[in-house]
Amino acid sequence: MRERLLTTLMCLFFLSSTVPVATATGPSDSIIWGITYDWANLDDDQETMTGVSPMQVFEDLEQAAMIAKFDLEALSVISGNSYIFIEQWEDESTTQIEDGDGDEHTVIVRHTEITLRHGSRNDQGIVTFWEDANSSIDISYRASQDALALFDIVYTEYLTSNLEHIGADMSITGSASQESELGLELDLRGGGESYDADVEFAVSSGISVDSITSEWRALEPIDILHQMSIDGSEFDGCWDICGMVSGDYTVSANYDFSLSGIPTEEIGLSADVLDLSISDTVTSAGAFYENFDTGYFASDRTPACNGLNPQMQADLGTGADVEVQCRQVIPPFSPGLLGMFAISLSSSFTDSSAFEAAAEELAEEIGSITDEVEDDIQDNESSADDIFVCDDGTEIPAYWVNDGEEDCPDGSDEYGTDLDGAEAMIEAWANSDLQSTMSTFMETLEELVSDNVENPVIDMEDACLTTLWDSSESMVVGAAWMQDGYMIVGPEIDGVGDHSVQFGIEYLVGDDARAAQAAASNLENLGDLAPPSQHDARDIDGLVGDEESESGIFVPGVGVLSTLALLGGSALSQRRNE
Amino acid sequence: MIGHLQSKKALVIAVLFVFLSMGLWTSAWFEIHGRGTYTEGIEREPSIVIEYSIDSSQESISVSLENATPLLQYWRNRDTITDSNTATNQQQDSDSESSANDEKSSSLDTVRIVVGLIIIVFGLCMFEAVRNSSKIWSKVSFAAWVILGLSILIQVPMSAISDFGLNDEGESSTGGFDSANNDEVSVNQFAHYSSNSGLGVEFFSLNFDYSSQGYDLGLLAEEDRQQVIDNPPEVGEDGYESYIKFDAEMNAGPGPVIYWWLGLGALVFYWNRHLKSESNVGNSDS
Repeated sequence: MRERLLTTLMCLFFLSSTVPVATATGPSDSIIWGITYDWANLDDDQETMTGVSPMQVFEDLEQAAMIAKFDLEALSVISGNSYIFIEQWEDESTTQIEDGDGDEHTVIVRHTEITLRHGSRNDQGIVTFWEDANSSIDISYRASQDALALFDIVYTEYLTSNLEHIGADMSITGSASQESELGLELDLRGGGESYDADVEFAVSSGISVDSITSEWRALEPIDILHQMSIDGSEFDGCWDICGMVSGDYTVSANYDFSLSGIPTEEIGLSADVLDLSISDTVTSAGAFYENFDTGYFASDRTPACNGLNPQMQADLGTGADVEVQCRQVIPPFSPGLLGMFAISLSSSFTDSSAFEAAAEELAEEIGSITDEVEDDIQDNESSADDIFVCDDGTEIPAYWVNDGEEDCPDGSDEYGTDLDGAEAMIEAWANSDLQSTMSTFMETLEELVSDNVENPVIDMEDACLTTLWDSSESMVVGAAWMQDGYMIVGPEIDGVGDHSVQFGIEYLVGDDARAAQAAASNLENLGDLAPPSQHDARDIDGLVGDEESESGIFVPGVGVLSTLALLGGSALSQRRNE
Repeated sequence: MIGHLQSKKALVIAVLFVFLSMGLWTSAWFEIHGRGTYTEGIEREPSIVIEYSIDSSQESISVSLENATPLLQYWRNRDTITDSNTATNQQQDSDSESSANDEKSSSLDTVRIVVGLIIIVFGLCMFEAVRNSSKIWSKVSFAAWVILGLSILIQVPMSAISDFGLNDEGESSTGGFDSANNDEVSVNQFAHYSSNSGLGVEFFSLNFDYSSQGYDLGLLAEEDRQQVIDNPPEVGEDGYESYIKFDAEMNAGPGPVIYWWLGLGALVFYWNRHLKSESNVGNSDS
């Protein structure tokens, strides 16, 4: 019995080693730091920072509308999570590489791995209703946006023992997408006219980077890093010694527009409902070879953090405190990382004529819609020089057409337009109490909102927002947001206590960051990053009436299978009874 | 006991009838699924997908363009080649079409009313057949069911066709191709145009295949068109870039309504059989 138990435990032990565990790709002594944010904290954080509560603004809107004697309800909900982790480490041994001129160098290999995960859902709903004896406006608006970004960037730079750059390699994988939906329900009445519409517009677009690998080799060693520890350092780029960046890519981009509920009578179609959808996915693979430049670099003490010690001991989760400076490093990445990322991404997506065509086509489509609207407006606004020819041949100024008076002898200038109804409606609104209602609303709202504004808890003018610089390694090892000498977001620093105000941002270092990074790496879709269970938009659904049956008469939907089952069941029960 | 069972059975039949009738009324009556793909001449084979359906309350059209970018570019970049006579006729056609559309909705609405009335009559007949165990009313119900089927299978699509104006004499749809005459290329969009089509029947629905090809002169500079008209260019030759091939398939037929209708038929058939077996039992007892 004991042997069997032991064997089972041994097997479990060996099996457990095959189960994927949350491990980072870097070594356990790497410097890793990251930030996570739960978007459910946004309202509270906004209130802390600005002194204005978004929920209170909605309440003010509703109250102002109530005082002005019309209905207005607005709701908004946002949820999701964002994670960004930066891990850096150096190989224990040096290696040999050639620079762009073919000269060989012994180099230190420094790795930077960036893990980015972001997913958010945002819903808004607005419902408003106003009426008087002869007119009414009923508007229901619903919008939602989903955003997703998943990127893994591995940057490997090659440095001489003097921390001069010889070059770097980069690999990028990931995707970014956004999806927006907008629904507008209108029911307008006035002047004996009515107009209603129920239009839904959806647009989604995204890019996917299956893989981009790129390689940069400088023509000669570039000395930027170690000088970044000197106050006031500034570099305009490496210019003619930067060399070239080359790479391969497999990427795709997609878009999908859809419009439903288009009023078909406006475009001469007989159908009741017309839905349109235009979509495309462009995939491209190839190679690029471009001139490279590290671009502008600067480094100086962070002015807003002058009250802090010039050198501070920070706990970066490496076991021993690290000496750091509050240093404003622009950009806060190693020279080459940002430049290579920009060149790799832009080359991959502009190298394909299909992408260019898709972008041009989108611009054209949007332009043509705008032009059509402008043409429609211009068609209805005749200039003084335009001439209208009556049916009997008489010529009259075009702006006399449809002006309410018959100017042609045969009256053919008063044929009416589609805009007549709209004009009658607008005139009815103008003669109603709509204008005074809106004035009352605006005045009340101004009063309510001004009462609502309090002093922000955090005064951003005094904020010390800084990167943390390790001058011995010449690299950014973290970031911090300090206020009045206290830490709001950042690592533990000797002599800097926690601020009484905290935001929804979590700052992680060391093993905590490593575990969170490994967990975040496995979040690969919107459902993981912004779970629907944590996004309660039921109030908005209730507000705009999404849960209601669209058809006027509710008839339960029944499936063929369920009906057949019902038929079969009743036939069997009959047979049994008989 | 037998009387109790009889009334219970009648209740079940009545409930099922109401259930199936509601399903029939609310499901799609007629559907068209169409997909046309540009298989040659345009990058990445863009497709036009059309879904059309009619139900008791509305007529819906859904149009989607897949791999849309090259197709939109093709439409934007091609010149439309027409002469003034064609343009005038087209204008007249569109005028008459719009006036036809003004009158149009009544045709389908009438059919909807007819279908509604047949369902009510069918329901009343079935009610009588069940309440009185009447063989005559059961047969009348069967007739009503057949009429309902004919109305849905024939009258609904015919009214839709009538509304589209496809029964009028005139140009037929060519999937974007405007020419059907090879020799009249000087005023037509396509040179060396050819097309073929096929029709098949499949479980109450019609399958329609269409394929056409030709050289779209609107894609060529004006001075290059005659050369293509005179000699169709081969692969690699100047002008071959204007070669366009379009394949389409379409399926038109009743929607899920057919299953509800068949369900109602099964119910009528069952009741007929039940009455028959009951009368046989009665005869053998006597």
